[in-house]
Amino acid sequence: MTAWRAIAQELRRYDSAVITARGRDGYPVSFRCVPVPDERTGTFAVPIPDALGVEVSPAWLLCHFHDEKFWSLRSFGARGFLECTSDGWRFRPTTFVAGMGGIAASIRLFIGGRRRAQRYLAARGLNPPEIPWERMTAIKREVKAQLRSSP
Amino acid sequence: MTYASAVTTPPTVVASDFATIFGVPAEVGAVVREFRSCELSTFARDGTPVTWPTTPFFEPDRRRFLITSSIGLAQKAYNIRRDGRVAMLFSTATGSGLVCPPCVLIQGDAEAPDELGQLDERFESMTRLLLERQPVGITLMGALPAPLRHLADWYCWRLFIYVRPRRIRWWPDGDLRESYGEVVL
Repeated sequence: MTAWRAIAQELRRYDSAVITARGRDGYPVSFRCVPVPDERTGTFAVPIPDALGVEVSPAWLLCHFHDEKFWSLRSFGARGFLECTSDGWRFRPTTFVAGMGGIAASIRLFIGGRRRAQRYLAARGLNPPEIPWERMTAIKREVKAQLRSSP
Repeated sequence: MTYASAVTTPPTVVASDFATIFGVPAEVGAVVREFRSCELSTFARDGTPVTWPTTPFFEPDRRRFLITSSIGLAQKAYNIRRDGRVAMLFSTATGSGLVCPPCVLIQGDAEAPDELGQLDERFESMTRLLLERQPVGITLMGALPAPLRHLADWYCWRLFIYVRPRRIRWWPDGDLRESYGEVVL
């Protein structure tokens, strides 16, 4: 499956996307928009006001979601390029990047994260701090009680 | 004042509010205080911006944001060590309780020290705020039996990333076609 097709499929699960490109001042510039898929060109049309000050540059597309309780997290990203054509601005994807959401992603995150963490420590000769689980459990209890008592 | 109390203090009372400190409208300060996440952008080695959602904590006494990241998920820190230019977009109002908030774009300069963050009062304060906003976290913390907790240690070994705002823009109705407010620091 091409990156374009994977993104077009996933986009249906979201209301909008965040596009990030390089700004004229060299800093990243992000904006939220509704990309319009164009299968013929393998791009997504993105409306960008001139005043935003973005440049033709490498770019990123992000879709993410969380609910009112800051849970049910899901996301995906895509690398690509922001192009300026006679029809307006276009995001041309090159790579689909899986994000959060689902059991497989959670397992990947847990196993991969743990391995990378150990490598980080080993490479720098760092000793990790002891996690104050008892204190964190106490905080958990306090917050739980507070949430119960709040209206 | 702890971070948790700073972010829950009404903006009319404080000199430590984001809006007061940077001279932006109270509505912009409310977005920074109440949004559950922002979209943080860093530059990858090849110059491609990379954007993922994250939870920023504003430190009013230091006029900067603190973002933490497990050392197992450190790519954003690696990117920042190469190129400190970042952007934080506040465009996801879900869970904030705000109605028609402005869209806020903060560009700034970030640092990501090599060493791990201390699990001190500041960390406790962030943990408390996060659990208040993400109650499922309370259940998850309790789900792991004590003998297995060491398997999750890596997630708590955090790098601290600091972002100093240099340019703040906001669109009052979130409509990018309309004119925006701006403060350059």
